[in-house]
Amino acid sequence: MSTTETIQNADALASISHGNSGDHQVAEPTHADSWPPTEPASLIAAQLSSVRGRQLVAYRLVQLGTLLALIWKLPFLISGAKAYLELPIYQDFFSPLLSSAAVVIGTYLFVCIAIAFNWYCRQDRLRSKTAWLPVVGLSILCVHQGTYNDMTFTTAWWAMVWSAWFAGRINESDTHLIDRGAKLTRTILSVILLGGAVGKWTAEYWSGQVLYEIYFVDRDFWIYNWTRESFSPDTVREIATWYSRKVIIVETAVGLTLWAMPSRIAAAVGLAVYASIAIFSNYYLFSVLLSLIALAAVGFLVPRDAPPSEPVTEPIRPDASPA
Amino acid sequence: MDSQPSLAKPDWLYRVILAVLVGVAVWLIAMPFSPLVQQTTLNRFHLQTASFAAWAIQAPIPAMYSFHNRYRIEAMPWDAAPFATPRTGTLNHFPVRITTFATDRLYLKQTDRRLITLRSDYRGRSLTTQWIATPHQDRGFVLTDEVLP
Repeated sequence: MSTTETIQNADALASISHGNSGDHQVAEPTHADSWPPTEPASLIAAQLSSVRGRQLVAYRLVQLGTLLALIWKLPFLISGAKAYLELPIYQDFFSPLLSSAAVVIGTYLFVCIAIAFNWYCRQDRLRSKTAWLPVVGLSILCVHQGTYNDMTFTTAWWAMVWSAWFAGRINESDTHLIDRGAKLTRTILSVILLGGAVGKWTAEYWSGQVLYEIYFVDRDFWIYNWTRESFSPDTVREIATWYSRKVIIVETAVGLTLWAMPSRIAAAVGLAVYASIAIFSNYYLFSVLLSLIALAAVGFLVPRDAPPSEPVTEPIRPDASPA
Repeated sequence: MDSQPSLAKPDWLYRVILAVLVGVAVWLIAMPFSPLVQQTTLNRFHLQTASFAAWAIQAPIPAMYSFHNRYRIEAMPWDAAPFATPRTGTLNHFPVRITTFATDRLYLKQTDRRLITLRSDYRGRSLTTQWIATPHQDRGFVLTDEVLP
């Protein structure tokens, strides 16, 4: 299929979609299930021309972002898995199951496989059920002795909760879903930023002492290496203060306002803020942030001429699941 | 373009997720002012929550890079090597991770370093816990803890 033919088909499909608006027995655009794309650019463009195609792109974007987040620091996780197998830690607080190396390794693999499956899955009904599997797995990882402290799994959990909600509503007739989905992502992103900000509303962070000790003293990362090589120790300490204050101000300001921003502006701000956190702090943080970056990008998929928001309702689904 | 909202049933899942998010936001915003929220979060960080369930239910509350968390790892007093230097540092969040998370736990194999003191501070409130790692009969370590005054 040529690009021109694809665009023509996309236009035709879009007209079918609009022509059937309000009719729940909608003839589903066939291109929405052209998955995986064989000509990515043209087929994704075609997908974006229908309501359901756009929903699927949003859903798959979040699956991809979260999967990448989970495997981002795979070498580190493999080293961690070896440590769990080699040196078990017994403590009363965690049950044997929730401190077991087999459980943490098995659950991690299960979550990755489930997300990959959901990314590929072409059947709406099946997807709406299997979308809950990563939530179950990540719920375990969020309270397991070996992973509870790793925010990778907390942010992935929120992304997968959003996905489970969204997957159950993918439907050509719901023209408001993508807008509601973007609103929910903005709220999630706001709350996560706020969580980081509130914990820093303290004198030790405002003075820069905490981030100085964690990063500026000896962390091997480009920005900290550069400051140590370029400035005197006193100046580095001063830079740490202003770096820390910048973090607090940005997290607080964006955390308090992102949820209320228009979709596309929120998407751009969210992408910029979350990407900058990793670029200027620690590349490992992409494991925490890629799922959030994908959630932020959903805002770009809200059509420019999106209909005004409606009361939060679940559309009546057609009897037969398309795809 | 209508989705016939008048015939549609309420999207309760959407409302539940939104309600949880609002609840988390309220909890977070209360933290600087509420001793209850501060102490609950300090207990969460140090695994001192009264029950595992009460601790686990806080898992969705984001807490990255929160509080001033410091650790000190040293030899037990009765088997300390002379002039052994304690290892100290600062952690981003959940300070007990220093004894459990991934490769962090491997330092326990250095058997002269088994006493871990953790302290978290937030707006004048603090929590200090002490952890003792003793070799398990099979392999690994048993971790016991107490709250210091």
